[in-house]
Amino acid sequence: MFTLSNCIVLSALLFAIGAYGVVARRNILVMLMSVELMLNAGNLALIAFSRYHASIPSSAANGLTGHVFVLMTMVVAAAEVAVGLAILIALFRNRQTVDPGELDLLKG
Amino acid sequence: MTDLLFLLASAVCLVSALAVVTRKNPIYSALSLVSFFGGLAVLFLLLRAPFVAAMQLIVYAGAILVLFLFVIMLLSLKEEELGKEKGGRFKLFAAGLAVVLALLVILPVLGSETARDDFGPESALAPRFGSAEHVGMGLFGNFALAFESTSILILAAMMGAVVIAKKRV
Repeated sequence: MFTLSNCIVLSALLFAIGAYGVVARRNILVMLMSVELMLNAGNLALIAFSRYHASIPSSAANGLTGHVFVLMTMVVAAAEVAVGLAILIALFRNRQTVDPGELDLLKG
Repeated sequence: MTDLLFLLASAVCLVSALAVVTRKNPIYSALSLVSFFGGLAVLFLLLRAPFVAAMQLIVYAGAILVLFLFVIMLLSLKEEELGKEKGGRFKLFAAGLAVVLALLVILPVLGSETARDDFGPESALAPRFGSAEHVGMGLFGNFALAFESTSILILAAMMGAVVIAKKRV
């Protein structure tokens, strides 16, 4: 049950749920949360592969690369959320909406 | 035991991820995100990544989630200020796209015939694999440049966030 394939399948499912949230929802807050879901699904796949390769004695990788990648992803996610929410606050102050469909100033 | 924990944590993750994208009120979405991060931390522990699991809880459930909740409370959106959700046909279309996306990964994974699919014995791992000590040696060794450059990224993001959210610069 607890196998590499099942971990990757779970990761794919979580990623698809996050993608659905980004496409279907019309609320920038929830869309940002869905992006977090997708990033975390990627993290799960990285950690699963890291664990898989760490137990192969002949493998050159010591299994640490996946862990470091995940930590880097977390840093990028934190920076992304901070800037995204700042943009959201500035947007809400000017337009009083969190609906991306109403942000059409650039439409010709 | 491991299988049971894996099933349980996966179920928690899937259910709370679905709750995040389906709840209308963003507060409920943010609270579902907590249990999603918790379930994922359990999965990381099962995959022998205790340091990453701890960071998951500290950074995601601790910092990012508080930021989300803070913004939700700050905006305190009224019913009419929530985005106007699209109709059922559009949602069905989006769900179809998501299913196709998931199948694109799942079908090849389940169809492939690998030599071995299990994670291998614990004894094959390096001693204290995934501990803060083990990951730290990598972060300050092979990956020192990447690790140090994240500080520039965080500094830029911090200043950017302050400048963007300020009323007058």
